Amino acid sequence: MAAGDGERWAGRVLHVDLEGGRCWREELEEQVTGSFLGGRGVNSWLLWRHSVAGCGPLSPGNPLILGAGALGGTHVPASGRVTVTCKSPATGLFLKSTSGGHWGAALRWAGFDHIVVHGKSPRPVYLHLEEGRATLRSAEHLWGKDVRQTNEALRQELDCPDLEVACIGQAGENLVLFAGVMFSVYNTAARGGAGAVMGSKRLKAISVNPRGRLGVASPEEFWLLGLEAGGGGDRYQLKYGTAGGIPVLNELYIFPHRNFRGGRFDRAREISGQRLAEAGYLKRSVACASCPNACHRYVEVNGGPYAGTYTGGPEYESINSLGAGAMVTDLEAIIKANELCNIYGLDTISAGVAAQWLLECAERGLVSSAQVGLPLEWGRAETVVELVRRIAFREGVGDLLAQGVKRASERLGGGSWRWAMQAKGLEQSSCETRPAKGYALAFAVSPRGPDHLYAHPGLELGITSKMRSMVERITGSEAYANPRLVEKRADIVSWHEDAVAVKDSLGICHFYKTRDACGFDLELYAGLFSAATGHRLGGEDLLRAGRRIVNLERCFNVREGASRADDVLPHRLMTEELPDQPGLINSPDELEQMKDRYYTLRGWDLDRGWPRRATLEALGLEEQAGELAGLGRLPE
Amino acid sequence: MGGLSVREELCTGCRACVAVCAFWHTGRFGALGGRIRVRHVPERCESQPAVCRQCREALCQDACPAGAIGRGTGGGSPPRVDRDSCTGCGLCLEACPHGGVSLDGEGKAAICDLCGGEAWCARVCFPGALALARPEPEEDGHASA
Repeated sequence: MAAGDGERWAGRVLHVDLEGGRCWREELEEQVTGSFLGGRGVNSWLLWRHSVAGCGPLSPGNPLILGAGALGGTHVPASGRVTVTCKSPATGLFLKSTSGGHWGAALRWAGFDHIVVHGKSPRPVYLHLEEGRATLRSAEHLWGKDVRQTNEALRQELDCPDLEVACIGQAGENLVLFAGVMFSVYNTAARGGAGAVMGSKRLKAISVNPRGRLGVASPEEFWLLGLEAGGGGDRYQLKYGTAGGIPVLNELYIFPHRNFRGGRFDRAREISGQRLAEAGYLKRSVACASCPNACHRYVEVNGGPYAGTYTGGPEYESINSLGAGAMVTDLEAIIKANELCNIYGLDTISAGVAAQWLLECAERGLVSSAQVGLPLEWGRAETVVELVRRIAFREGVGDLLAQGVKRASERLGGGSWRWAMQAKGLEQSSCETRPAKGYALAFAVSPRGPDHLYAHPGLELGITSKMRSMVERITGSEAYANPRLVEKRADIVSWHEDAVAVKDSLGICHFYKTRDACGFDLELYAGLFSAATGHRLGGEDLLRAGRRIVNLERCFNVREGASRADDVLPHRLMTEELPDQPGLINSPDELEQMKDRYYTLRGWDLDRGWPRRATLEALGLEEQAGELAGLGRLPE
Repeated sequence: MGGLSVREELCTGCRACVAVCAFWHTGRFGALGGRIRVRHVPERCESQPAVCRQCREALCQDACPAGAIGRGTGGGSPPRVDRDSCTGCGLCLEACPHGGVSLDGEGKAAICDLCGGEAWCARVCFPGALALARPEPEEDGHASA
């Protein structure tokens, strides 16, 4: 198992210029991959380098960047995550959106780690990668096709049964601001509208023939460490998926419904992962690359009004946003709405939150069923299904909702911003932050908006002894493993942000837990990164790289003009108590107190939440410091 | 040794088997060079491991015009490909009903050799779709080595 001469193990970038129809390779210097690892980290570095402040998210100047993690395509468990990075059309700020599936592994096997798509094509095109070569081809015949049709057509056209496809559906073509990029048919880089950016470039798909080879710098060492990272398989995930958590979360009063006006939903069990399996909808548990857990689902509906429906999913988030959020308990309708999101290429979270916002607007008399031509009532399953379709095609009220609830509420008026469950322009994912202060802080300061995949500070819950001992490592005491406390939330959140940046950059899923350290076994991952790339790093170095990545992403937002005032939560969560749980609220006072501590720990100034010069220089972000100084946004 | 037993209905399509197989045999990850494939229909999320089942009546062996495919002794022994004699004609691929033969990067037939008994694919298969079966008894009642 000797490594070949001159072989590259990281930093293999493909640039695509859609205006000129040109593709070229770039090999990044080891200093870049050593500092930013791969996947999300290197993507963010590329985004900074190839974008200018103030460019329109749907303009040709906004690059679309895709990257596989530094451990992608190997036997390391759950190493197949892909990151899509660009400026978000929903927020106008930094966006990283991640997906599972098998496309990332295929990308690395085909000889690339990252793709930077520049410009805008005059005609619809797709990009095909095969054995280190890239070609742009016409996609006139694919434009207008849904995600399934696009996958099938490309597999036939390229005569490749194992073809892996990243593509957009009609929602991306129609520039819906929460269109996702779809991978391996049913996996989605869903959040923030990367699919609209792809649509604005008239890039329908990126197909990859996985035939190829991928080496690592130290094969024997990598092999053994990869096996050591195994053993974290979770039978509960395999059996029930992420929606298996619904009954427990519901009993804890943290299963949002009725547009975040309820914490415990009487009928939660009817739409749980358990019910999905027991009622026979679940046909298969489905895995992403090299993942033992297989938490992804495949379901079919064989009778009733939605007979013939088949799709990947539904996961926890989709069931909550398209189901409980709108008080819908018809699991078959939820599956149908999920299928439509998947084939049209929509983020299920934002689509569901948009539907919930509209239902509340109707409840409060701002819109009527007659105006919209649909019964706008809570629990009307067919309304949610039809709204998803109208959003994707921007028909009628769908055109309003396709802009996301921030813009839609500005257009509709009537104070409807008060129940628009968004911050920074991104709809909040289905996590109830009022009983968990660390989550509240994490969602508020997340550069992409309120969402669980930037930090996910689950350790604060302290459910297991392992989690409590991790909290002790971070804060000095197990006593802080308590989500109701405000103290030390900043310490826990910033640590999670750094660690999650590491996992995103290596391509490791947050839901996979190694045997030690609750999935944050940084020494083990440092060993794997070192053996894979030949660039030797320890666990602390990895965490420092994570901190560098988080700071770089903050710099992007500062360059765009964002500041402390943008680090908020949806209005409702800061002004209304969680029903049935008196006193649980994300009060602005409490949030500002946690933010003070967070910015201080980060080395950012308190007034604006901007990174200080010394902070950036200590992390090797001199280039960013220089540019921000030029804009007058670099506090000393 | 025992052969590989395959329960297709348990396969989740993670393809960890493909990763370890290629790496063990070639020192590289990737779809080239491994001896196991996972056939899939992505729209239906269907996955099926395609790998040698160590058939007693080895159709690959019968189909080979060059006599390049031999057997070990005893039930469950994997076929062995003599790479020098293999012409890469591909008739063994067509003959195998399990899709258990592939051509490697040099165009030679590649068939599962159970990694000399390690069967890494089965070791990393968490859902249990692949397992190393117990040695089959020989006709005289003794298990093969």
